[in-house]
Amino acid sequence: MSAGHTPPSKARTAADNEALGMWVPGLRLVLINEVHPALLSADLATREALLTWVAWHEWGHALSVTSPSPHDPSEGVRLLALAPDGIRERIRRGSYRRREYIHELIAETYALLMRERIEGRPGQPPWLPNEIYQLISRIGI
Amino acid sequence: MATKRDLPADIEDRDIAEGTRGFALGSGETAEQFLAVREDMLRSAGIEPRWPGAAEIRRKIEAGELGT
Repeated sequence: MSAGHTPPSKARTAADNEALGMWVPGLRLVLINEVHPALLSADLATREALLTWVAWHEWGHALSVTSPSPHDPSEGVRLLALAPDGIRERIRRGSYRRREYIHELIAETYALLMRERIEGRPGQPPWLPNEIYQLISRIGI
Repeated sequence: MATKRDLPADIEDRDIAEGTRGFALGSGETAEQFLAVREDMLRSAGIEPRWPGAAEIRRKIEAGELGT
């Protein structure tokens, strides 16, 4: 809590405490909880993979929200229906509000595209619909 | 496509608030289970899943292999 700011709700505080990572707009930083139980209980390879995923996911949020070419949150439901199963089902199960779908879709897709780039496969992968790829392209991958 | 300047300020503020929820695993979900879902998705697309380690990512960044 900071002076001059409204304190977060108890629910928000509880959710933040459960998070492995988050992007903090006011600080322009991605914070990652490296001592989260899910990371401490994983083997080294899994821990590195998840840390990488969290960092890319949160950076995707940062790019999404600060993009000079913003996207219409009301498009989230329609675009999510086009998304690959693994992305779509996680977001639908995640209790996100419909207006949040597009942010989560961008963050999850951005993480997957960064992984593809590391593997030497930049550009649009065959598993990603063109409309979603174009959405991500506009925010800067 | 609207530009950010075209959007009302309240929409930008609301989107920022909604777009910054922290990343968490599902209730009872382990890191292995989380990654397995992505591996299944990649396999279904004909891609053998592999998760690059931190050292590999750092090497590629330093070698300039990831572009800008």
